Amino acid sequence: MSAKFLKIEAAGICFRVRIERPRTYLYLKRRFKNFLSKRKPDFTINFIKPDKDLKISRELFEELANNPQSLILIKSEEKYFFSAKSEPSKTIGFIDRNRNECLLYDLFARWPGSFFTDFILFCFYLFFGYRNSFMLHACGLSQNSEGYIFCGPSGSGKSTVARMSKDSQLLSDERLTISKNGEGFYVYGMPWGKAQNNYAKLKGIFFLNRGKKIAFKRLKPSLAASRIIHDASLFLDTSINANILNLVSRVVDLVPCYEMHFSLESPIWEKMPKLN
Amino acid sequence: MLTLDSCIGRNNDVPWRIIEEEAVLVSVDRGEVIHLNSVGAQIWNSIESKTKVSEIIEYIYETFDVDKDAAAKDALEFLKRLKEARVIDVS
Repeated sequence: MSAKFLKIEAAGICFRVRIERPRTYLYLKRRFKNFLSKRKPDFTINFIKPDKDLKISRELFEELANNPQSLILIKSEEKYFFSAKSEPSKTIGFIDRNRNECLLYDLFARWPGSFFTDFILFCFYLFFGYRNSFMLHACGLSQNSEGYIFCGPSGSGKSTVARMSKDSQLLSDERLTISKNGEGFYVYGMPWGKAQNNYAKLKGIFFLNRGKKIAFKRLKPSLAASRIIHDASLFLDTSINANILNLVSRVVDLVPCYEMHFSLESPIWEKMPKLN
Repeated sequence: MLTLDSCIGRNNDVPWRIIEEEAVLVSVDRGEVIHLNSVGAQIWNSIESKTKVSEIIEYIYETFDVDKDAAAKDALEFLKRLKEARVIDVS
């Protein structure tokens, strides 16, 4: 059977995926249904059946299948190789930024699309790297085309805030991209968790804490930058990380950041501070 | 082991930035973000490649209103923290 193609777009970056396994195609089409695109791609991913020479032991097979954290990105010359942490010679994919080409082996016929979302996280990191954009683990909401970001560790209430905000549009309850466009910053939903391919002008960033009543405390820029960096998706490339830190320092200069305490009864949007 | 004769330098793989007189350092391999107050940021800024610990102590003694013993104790504690976070190289 011939390969099928999907184009996926998020935060202004579009990639075309060539998929060999029919089940994988159906899985990805459903998984990325809100992010399918028709525009010209910025890069391609060849998502193919593994090479016959790639021998994966049963132990490594189980390690990879059970723990996506067992994968790492290794830079060698101009390519980034996606490999098993315990056996770096076992490359299961690569990203070639110069050629805008990527390859990922679709290892497990029984688990369609394995590692694809982990792989594209690295792809976005590398392709955003020099485009004034970076990703972070947070919940994003849009209200009247204005974007609000809610950060915090698991259990801090990101999804709860999303559920409590009936008049807002969800961008994503798991992963966002902040992008500089002209003089302002914009927040985009990314295809993780519940997500929409939408964006809004960034108005404020809030670091969540559970409390008895609602309270907001403005954070000084250096502290806000540390907190944003803590939640940003950073990997191994020093110059990209330096770009991201530079971008974050401009975000905290322009966008107000607050420590926010709230409870389930809190009228979040009524009490929200006035943001310029 | 960090001594007065140790030479230190900033780890070049650690991006950092001064934001309103305070410093933010990013140690990706440790998954850590280090936030230094204005005093820490000034000391961090004073570290060149191959700076001797004794020179840092001298800098703290001259810049801040502390006696030499306190400067030495504070500097060693501060640099030990930076070393543990692998944001400085020690030789």
